[in-house]
Amino acid sequence: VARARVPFGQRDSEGGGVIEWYPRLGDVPGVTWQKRAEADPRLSGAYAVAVIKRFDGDLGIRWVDAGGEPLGDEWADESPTSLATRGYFDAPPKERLSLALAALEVPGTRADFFETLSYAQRAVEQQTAPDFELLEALLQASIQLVLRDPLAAAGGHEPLDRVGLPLVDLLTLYRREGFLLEAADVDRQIHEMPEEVRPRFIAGSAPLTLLDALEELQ
Amino acid sequence: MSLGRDLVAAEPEDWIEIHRATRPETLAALEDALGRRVAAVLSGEKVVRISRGSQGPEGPSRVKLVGLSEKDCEIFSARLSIPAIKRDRVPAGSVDLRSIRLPETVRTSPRWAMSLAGTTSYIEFTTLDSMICQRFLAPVMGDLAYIFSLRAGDGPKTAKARADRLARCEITHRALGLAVDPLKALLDPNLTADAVVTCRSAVVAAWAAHPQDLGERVMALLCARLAQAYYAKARKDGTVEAARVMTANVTPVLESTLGDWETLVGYLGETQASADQSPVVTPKVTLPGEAPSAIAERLAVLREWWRVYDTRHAAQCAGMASLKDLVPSRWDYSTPGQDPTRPGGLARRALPPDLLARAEQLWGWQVLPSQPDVLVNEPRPLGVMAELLQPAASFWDELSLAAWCSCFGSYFRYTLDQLEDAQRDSRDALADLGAPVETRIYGDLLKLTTRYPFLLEAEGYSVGITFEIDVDDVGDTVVSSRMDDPERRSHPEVFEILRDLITEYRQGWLSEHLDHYLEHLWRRELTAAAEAYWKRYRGRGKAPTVKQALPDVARCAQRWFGADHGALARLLALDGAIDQSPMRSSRALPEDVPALEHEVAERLLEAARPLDDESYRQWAVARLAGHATTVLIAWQASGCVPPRSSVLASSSRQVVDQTFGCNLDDAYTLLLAATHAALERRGHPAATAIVPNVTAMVPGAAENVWLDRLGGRSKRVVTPQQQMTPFLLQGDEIVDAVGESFYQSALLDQCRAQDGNSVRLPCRAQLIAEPDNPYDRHAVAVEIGGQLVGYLSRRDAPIWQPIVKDLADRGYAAACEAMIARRGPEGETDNLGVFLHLPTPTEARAELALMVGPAEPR
Repeated sequence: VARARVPFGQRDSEGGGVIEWYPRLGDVPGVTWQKRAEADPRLSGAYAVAVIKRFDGDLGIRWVDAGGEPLGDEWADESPTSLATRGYFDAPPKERLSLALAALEVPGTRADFFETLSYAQRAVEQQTAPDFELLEALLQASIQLVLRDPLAAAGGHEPLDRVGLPLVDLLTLYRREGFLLEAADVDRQIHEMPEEVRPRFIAGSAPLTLLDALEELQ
Repeated sequence: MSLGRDLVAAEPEDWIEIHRATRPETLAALEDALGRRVAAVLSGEKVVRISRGSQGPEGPSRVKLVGLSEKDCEIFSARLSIPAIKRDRVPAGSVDLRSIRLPETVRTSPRWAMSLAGTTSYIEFTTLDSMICQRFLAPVMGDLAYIFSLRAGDGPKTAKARADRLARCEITHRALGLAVDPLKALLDPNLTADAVVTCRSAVVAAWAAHPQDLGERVMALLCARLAQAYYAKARKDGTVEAARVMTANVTPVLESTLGDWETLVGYLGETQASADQSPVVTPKVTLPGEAPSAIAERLAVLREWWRVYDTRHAAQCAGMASLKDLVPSRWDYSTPGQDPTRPGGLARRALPPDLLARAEQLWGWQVLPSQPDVLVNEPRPLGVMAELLQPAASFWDELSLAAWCSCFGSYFRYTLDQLEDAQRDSRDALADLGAPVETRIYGDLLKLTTRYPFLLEAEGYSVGITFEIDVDDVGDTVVSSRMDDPERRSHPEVFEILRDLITEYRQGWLSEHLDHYLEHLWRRELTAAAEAYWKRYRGRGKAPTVKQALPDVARCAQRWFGADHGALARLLALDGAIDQSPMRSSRALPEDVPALEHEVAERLLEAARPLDDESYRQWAVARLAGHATTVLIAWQASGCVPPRSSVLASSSRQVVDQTFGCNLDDAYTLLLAATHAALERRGHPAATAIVPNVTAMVPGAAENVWLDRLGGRSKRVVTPQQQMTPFLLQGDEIVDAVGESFYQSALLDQCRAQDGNSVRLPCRAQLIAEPDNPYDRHAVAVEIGGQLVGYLSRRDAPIWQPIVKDLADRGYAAACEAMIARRGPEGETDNLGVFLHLPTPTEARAELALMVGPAEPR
């Protein structure tokens, strides 16, 4: 089978839409993300190769690892990020974080990265002493994905307003620490989101209400 | 002046000196031990360790204090007693461990200290360590750390309560000799995250610089709080009865510090109240040998109810409806006169009419705490009766329903093998009432589960998927799948075996124990009421007033004496004003209260904002409408409208906000307006008293938007915008307006159509931005012929409002072609609808862009 590396970019999916892959989360425009030392080093880069489909002779792509070995099923649509997190729930709890962080360093779509960031977030929250620094970074990366293109982050999965959850989580984290200006900023971002993806319920007092309360107490 | 009064009047910094002058010597060792513990916490040491409790990961945690010496253990254990374990129940509760951990987490991880400190924890009270945390460390640290909680939005929600709590935080700092200045920096609303971290660290650094005599200061603080509780109730001569001060909050503080009441009074330099010096002797509670007629009448109804219950269950078989609502519930909102086919109606429907009428008559009365001398209607008589059926009814119901659900595939919270454990509390309660249940029944049930293993399968559905493989016209393989309809499990013959087994046990219990059970029930309740009354009497040294005594006797009086507390008091020879019977109110409720409630709900539904979840909207509206009965009963008692706070609790705030987009006061005004309208329509005299206070709702608003919505009227003042030159937005997109059902009369005016006629009327509509709309700041109103006829949907409005506003800024009123339409008699609804012909928003913006500069109106 003749094959050649395919440059990252857009490609029409079979359903007629557009799939956009990026080599790693840090390469997604608008997202600031540095590779974490905790990421599982066994997962390294992957790339797509063009192949001729066996049955209809059309040109398709296949994902291979850094050594050129195919990843997953031959014609699986899933990106390396999704494939890497397939085993997330079967992995021992202590290994889940490094698995999810490693999956952010291989090719995926915005929706794949968004999903994987939520896995990493969950893994951090389940730690005995959670690394809140990392949690903040994960939430901020999720928010950057969401604010740039909420529908791409949702990946067509309903309900759409779930993509707003990282903003709610970051707001909650900042409010809990009393970082009210930062919480108010996140709150503003939530209210500026398009209605169909805006989270419907935010528990607790609004940051602006708390800032007013402090003003009153002074 | 006594030392106690000095203590209350003194500045917190001076409490320590006053305390030293008057404290008992026996406190010294406790103060030392306490000082060491609090000092360790304030210095940022790791002081608590949490581990899994005896009930596994789901149960309360176990807390251990790090570094607690044996000597200190001895000292603390002399003052703190560990609650006993009752019936295998581990005593547990919530303790603010976060505040205890905060100094440590601020020191080790200043940026994420609050998150790392965790939350209030649910812990076992089985160790001395947990009691030290609960009684000493958490209360003191909770007050000190409130400054952090305040920024996090925890704690009280009202401005006054926040200010009070903050003042308490400052007082605690001053009493313990800790610096107050660092607190003020944390109140600055303009602090960035980094500045918050710096200020937080400064507060904790100040805590670490605590004085040496910390133990004495903590004790002085706790004793000062006891003194405040004491003098809040004391007379001018400094005396007060122990019973008036020793509330559930004060008692543990006293027990952990000064020990007992006598020591507290001595510490404060006061004398014992005469009632405490020579306690009033109250008579021993004696009950009549036989049930008096009022009780006998109710016992007869209860026996009859049990007969009906037993008959229904004994005859239950496949094909019949489940009997899960046969036992009435206290919170069953099926009111008298309600359609009995509605959910919850079985409890009423199953009763013979005469039995139902007797039950409603016997339990259909109550007195309100604010008007104890007036008898008013109880809206849920079966709910009151339901209390007298428990715990026996729920015990037998669980057995019967578990059997039914196991055989017919419905969900029930227990399977048959889980019942023995799950029903332990009910069995204990029945045994206490002299009506024990034979536990052999569980063994017999288990034998059946061995024979019919499906009985232990919790899921009652079986799901099948069928795959079909075929070859299509061009020879390709086609695989299709189909999910079969779920099959409900059905084992009528096994159910009959289970039913007969349970019936045999139930009938055995009823014939042997029902009379004892009911006898115990009324005797126990009357005795408890009398003892509570006499306890209050002794505590005060004289007879309590009716309002004071009502919490002790009202429930018992409602259950057994038709809410006549006077009859109860006379039977029990309770001395005091309580023996006066309340009089029936001269004000009668409307005869059709459920229908009135329904009408109120209909009116409120018009005022509710559109929500995606219609069932939630209807539930929320029904919940508010249900309070119409509360208002009516309060009117029946007093002739007045009750204050909002006694009808709508603050816990309703969120539901009201979501559904009506307003605060509780405005929602209450809506409720009163709807109730008033329903009463007025009936010509009921309550209509003159139950009127909404409109000016309180929107000060100075003559055209009140709330009442306007409530009536579905469209009273709009012509705005300057409507006098502007129209700018026709032309396009082929059909955009549906929403909310036209509120404005049908305006639409009928426009098209002069008769009800039922098919209508298609082309016209021109005007769009008006309403950024101040209380429901939706993106709202865009749709008007035809100067009358409001609807709004753009919540999806369209945010897109169109900027365009409409932009046009208005340039001096134009946005207009478009529209169609008023109705499908005619065959349509799903008789309502007229409005359809707008608009360009796409992009096309509209393009047209706007062509209008360069502040153009003059065309």
